[in-house]
Amino acid sequence: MTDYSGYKSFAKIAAWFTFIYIILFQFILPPNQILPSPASMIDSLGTLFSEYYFISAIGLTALLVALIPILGFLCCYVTRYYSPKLFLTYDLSSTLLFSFRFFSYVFLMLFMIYWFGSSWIAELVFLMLVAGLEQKIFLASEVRKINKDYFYTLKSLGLTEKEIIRDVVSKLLKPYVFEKIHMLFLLSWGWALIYEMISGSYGMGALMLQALKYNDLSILTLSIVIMIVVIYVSGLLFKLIEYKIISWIPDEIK
Amino acid sequence: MKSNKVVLEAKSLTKDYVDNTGYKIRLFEDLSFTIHENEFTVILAPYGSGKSTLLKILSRTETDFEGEIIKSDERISALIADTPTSLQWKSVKENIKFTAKEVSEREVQKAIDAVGLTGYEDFSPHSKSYGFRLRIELARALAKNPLIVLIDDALDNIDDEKTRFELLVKLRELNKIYDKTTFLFATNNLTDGLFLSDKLLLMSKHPGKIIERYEIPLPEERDASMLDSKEFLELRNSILKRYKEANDKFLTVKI
Repeated sequence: MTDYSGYKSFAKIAAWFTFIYIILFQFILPPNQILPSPASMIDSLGTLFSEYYFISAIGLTALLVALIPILGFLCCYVTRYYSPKLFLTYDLSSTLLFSFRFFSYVFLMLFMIYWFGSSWIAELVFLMLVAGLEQKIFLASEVRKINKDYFYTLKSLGLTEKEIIRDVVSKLLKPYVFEKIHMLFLLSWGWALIYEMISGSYGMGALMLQALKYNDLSILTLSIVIMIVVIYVSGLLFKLIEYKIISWIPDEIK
Repeated sequence: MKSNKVVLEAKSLTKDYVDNTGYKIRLFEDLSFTIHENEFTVILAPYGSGKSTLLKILSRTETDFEGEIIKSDERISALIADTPTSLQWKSVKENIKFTAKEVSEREVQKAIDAVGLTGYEDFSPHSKSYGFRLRIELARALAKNPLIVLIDDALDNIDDEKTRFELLVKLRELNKIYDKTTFLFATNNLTDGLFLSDKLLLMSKHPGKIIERYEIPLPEERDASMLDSKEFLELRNSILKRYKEANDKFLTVKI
């Protein structure tokens, strides 16, 4: 089930990009105001840790983002009796609302920043709401694609609807839920950075904003590079966990 | 041993549905038939005549219909769909025990042996063939000691002729082993249907109706040689002729 091809291609592209970057900006092009040389980035490492408090910034953002898949999984586990049934009733993905939902997320974000200021709990609540809504919309569209023959055959063998939803439908949806949580995990990084940049007092978003204010492009580039590595490694770790939990190929949703 | 005991009687079954454009369409009408204990009954019908819906109605998983179904006892009517529904994350044995929790280990093993999965008890259906998964579904149904097993064109997905024929023989064999259970098989494949049946109901479509009932005079024991026998071919041709008379020339039945 678990597909690492995206990560493999990303690693290849990143390796080539790094190689070209080093050759161009370290050895060929003169120093410039846009992209720093690799040597100056290495020189900035000390400043990043001592003056910008990089560890606590990335630690906080990573923790907030990491809580999304964990809480998302718990949410699915707890509501496995009810969620597919509840969301069978209305398909949001077919409405206009579906296409414009990102605008409502931006509005919600601005509203929460205005209301709670720079609070990491408010950011967590915002990320949870976005992830939760996205997951429910996704479940509503995926549950329709499950082969209905499961219902008919198992019902004919004496299983109740509740048992079928709990023990079969939730299990059939699991690989897709994992795939969605994985996607949400990556998207949450984007949302978290925007949130922190706007609220501007903690986390990686604030750090990047500060570096931008001081026109410290070495710090900005370096923090982006380290953040990409952290996202890559944590995403890969998530895929490994998924592989351990789901070892079968779902052929039911086509 | 065939008996004259009626296990299931369908009286004037009629089913309507509303299509995407809002038109009410009659899928089938006034279907009446009886099924006798351990008599392998086949419904031969073209695509779109409502075979799958009829089986769902007979299994009581579809309740929106007109007419009446009378069963001889309260045992279940197990449905096997035309797409695989064995659970991929469970082993063969777990699949059976999942729906047959109350059934003894002996009965579960009997079902596994009967469908030919001895030695595969701990294998999972994940990435296995349609034939393997169909055997699991048969065992899962038979372990529950059903009154009737309703099979909906389940061989349609199996392209390999050898596997397909092995399963046809297996179905006849299961009908013999489980002599208190009756099999009803719905298909659009004339050869499969004729090979399996003791009784064959021929249906037309738009709306679905039973146009002919055949008592099949073929021997109990059936094998590959029967497919080329004069008796089999004559019977097949006469059913095909009747089918073509009753249906539009564009409608075909698999030979």
